[in-house]
Amino acid sequence: MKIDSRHCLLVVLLFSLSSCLLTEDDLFPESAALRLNHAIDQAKATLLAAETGWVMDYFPTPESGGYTLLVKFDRSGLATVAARNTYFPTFTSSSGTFDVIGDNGPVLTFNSYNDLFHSFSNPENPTGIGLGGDYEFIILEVTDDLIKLKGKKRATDIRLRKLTAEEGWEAFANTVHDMDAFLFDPKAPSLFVHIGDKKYIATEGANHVFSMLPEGADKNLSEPERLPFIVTPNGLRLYKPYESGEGSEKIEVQHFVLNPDKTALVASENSTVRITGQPATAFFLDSLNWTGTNAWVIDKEHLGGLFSTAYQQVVENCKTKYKEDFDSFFLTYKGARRGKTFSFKSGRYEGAYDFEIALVNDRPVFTYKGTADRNGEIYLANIGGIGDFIAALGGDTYTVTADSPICPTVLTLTGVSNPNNWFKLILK
Amino acid sequence: MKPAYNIGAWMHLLLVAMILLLSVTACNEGDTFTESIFVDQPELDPNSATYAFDSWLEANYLVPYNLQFRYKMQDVGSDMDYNLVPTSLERSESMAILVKYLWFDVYKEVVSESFLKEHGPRIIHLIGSPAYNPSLGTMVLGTAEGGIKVTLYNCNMLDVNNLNIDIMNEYYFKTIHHEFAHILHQKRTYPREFENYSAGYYDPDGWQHRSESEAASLGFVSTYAGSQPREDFVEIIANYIVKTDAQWNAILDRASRPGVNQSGETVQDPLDGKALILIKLGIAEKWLKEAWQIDLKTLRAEVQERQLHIAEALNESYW
Repeated sequence: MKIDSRHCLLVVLLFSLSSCLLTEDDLFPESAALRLNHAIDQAKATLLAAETGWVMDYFPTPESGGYTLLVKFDRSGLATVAARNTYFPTFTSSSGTFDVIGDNGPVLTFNSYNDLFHSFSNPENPTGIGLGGDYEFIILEVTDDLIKLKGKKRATDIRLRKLTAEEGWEAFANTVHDMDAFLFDPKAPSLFVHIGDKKYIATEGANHVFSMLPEGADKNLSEPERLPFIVTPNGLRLYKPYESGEGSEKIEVQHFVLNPDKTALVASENSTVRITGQPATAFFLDSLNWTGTNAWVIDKEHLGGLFSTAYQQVVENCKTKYKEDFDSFFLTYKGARRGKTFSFKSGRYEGAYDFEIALVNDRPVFTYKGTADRNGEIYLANIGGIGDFIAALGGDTYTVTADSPICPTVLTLTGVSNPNNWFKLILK
Repeated sequence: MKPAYNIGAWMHLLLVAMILLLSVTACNEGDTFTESIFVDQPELDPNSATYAFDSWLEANYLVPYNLQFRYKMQDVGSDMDYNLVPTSLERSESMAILVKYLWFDVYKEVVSESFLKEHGPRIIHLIGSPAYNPSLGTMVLGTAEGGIKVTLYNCNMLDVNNLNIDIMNEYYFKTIHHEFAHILHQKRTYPREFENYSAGYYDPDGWQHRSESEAASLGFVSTYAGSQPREDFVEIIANYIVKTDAQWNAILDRASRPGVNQSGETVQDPLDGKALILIKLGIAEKWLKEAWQIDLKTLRAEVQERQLHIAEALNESYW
């Protein structure tokens, strides 16, 4: 090949290009690989530095409810995760390996199976999908007390907050669980969300996702707003800030705290936004508040006066007369035809007595209609004590107190005329 | 008008310049081929909770087989379309022992020490959960990618306290032989005549709707074998290796009867399923012998013998 002026020109061009490149200012003092390595080292050091671990606000997906997990990262490469929630009703902890790897930037990965942590990612129940949660997280921001993460597959925003030394793991998990139990029960009536003068009905709180409709809206015609949230030790935090109104009327809230008298969750950002429960007497008012097949069972351990005496009689008579173990009395709604009933279960049999229940001066009044189903009639005729219980029920009005003003699941009914006659109802 | 510059000559010049530049770069870096493709592995940390296991994996997989036994799951190395979870440490340890005992040691014993070093995968990736296809009602049990990586799913189902070789074969070891047969035929193709015997009866989209009986009567050792020829080929090999005589004969027996579909109805077909399976097995056996110098019957006998001793293999102290 002959060397000519074109070859020389090319060489000059190549060198010119190189020299131009060398004159560019470096935006970063280190190479991308080095910066990634440093970011990994910094994240790992921060994770390990929290001696009592981290509180992880874990949302499986941006659409699903959040759960509090406690996480401790160990130098041996093990991460211990603990929680107490719907999926783990008692305090549970489990370990597996973790690492911070270079992937989409520094990524925190829980890379061997952890019974607790990966239950949110396991594609079982429903088969093939599961809860759809991530177990690898892009580390977005690291400070000593807060690490912001983003789920790799679902892009869910997740936070790790440093747990303070005085907060024991089990105590912390129990506090969150107790708050959850105080606020939500899948069987309990819906909650109300008050935003200024607007009132919304919020259901599905027990799943940590409010399904919210304006009060009075037709459920069949309206699409509810869905607001995922996580329960905190003192209330709850919405996954994303909730916005309402425009201009000077605009309201934005995210954090709710249970007020001192435990009657409402109040938004920290705007105290006019509140979440309240149904009144304790709600289920006596509206059959819709008697949810599905659930029943208010009379607690055999907690009743007094005429009710206690009659109950004992019924138990003894079922045993001697029918050789049966009497199970329970309960109040339930048996559909439009039968309505509200006072029912019983003994051995294999159930029976029901038809009642009118009304509220007079906010006090329930029970009126036996005099009709019953076939079993009800047979037991009423043959088991002494049932008639007495029915008579006692209709013989007074009652003051009602609830275990929780937000989510009543235990009601105590005390006779107004004779407070010695009382009983407890447990929602089951 | 003649162009001012001859574009062809400039292209030639540019090519020469690029080759020269690349040559210089290569010379400067002084690259040499290394024995392992995993050259930048971090040193094992003696303080790690998995140090003993990792050391064993290094000594038994990485060094002899140039293979990374990847039990700490990497999302990026998995199929991101599925919801998956990692395998537990305990089950990963058991899988590592069993994969060596029922696969690597078998080939070392029956074929040659170098065979899997040369032809085995470079990565085994364990996944704890199945890879479900909810819309199809199927799940992926394993994959072999380009002869490099074998992925085993559902490893968290391994129950070492209640060993059941049939379940283990179905989910793991039959899958391993299945995937490895894919690797082998991707390197040296199987005889095309194989595809003729069941041509017209493969159903890539509806195989899962056939019953075992129906598939067998059509000449397939499993329902999945009826999906496409290459799956048929590796299913014959894998099933023949891991099934006991009684189980293999039961397949042949099923194949010799009219098929009964998932609705319980007898399906008439003109095929002799048993004869088809035996012909196809013969083709696979011949191919393994001629292309790979593997005696399928000897290989099978070794696997069958070892399957009787998996409890002892697991109970040995390794680390």
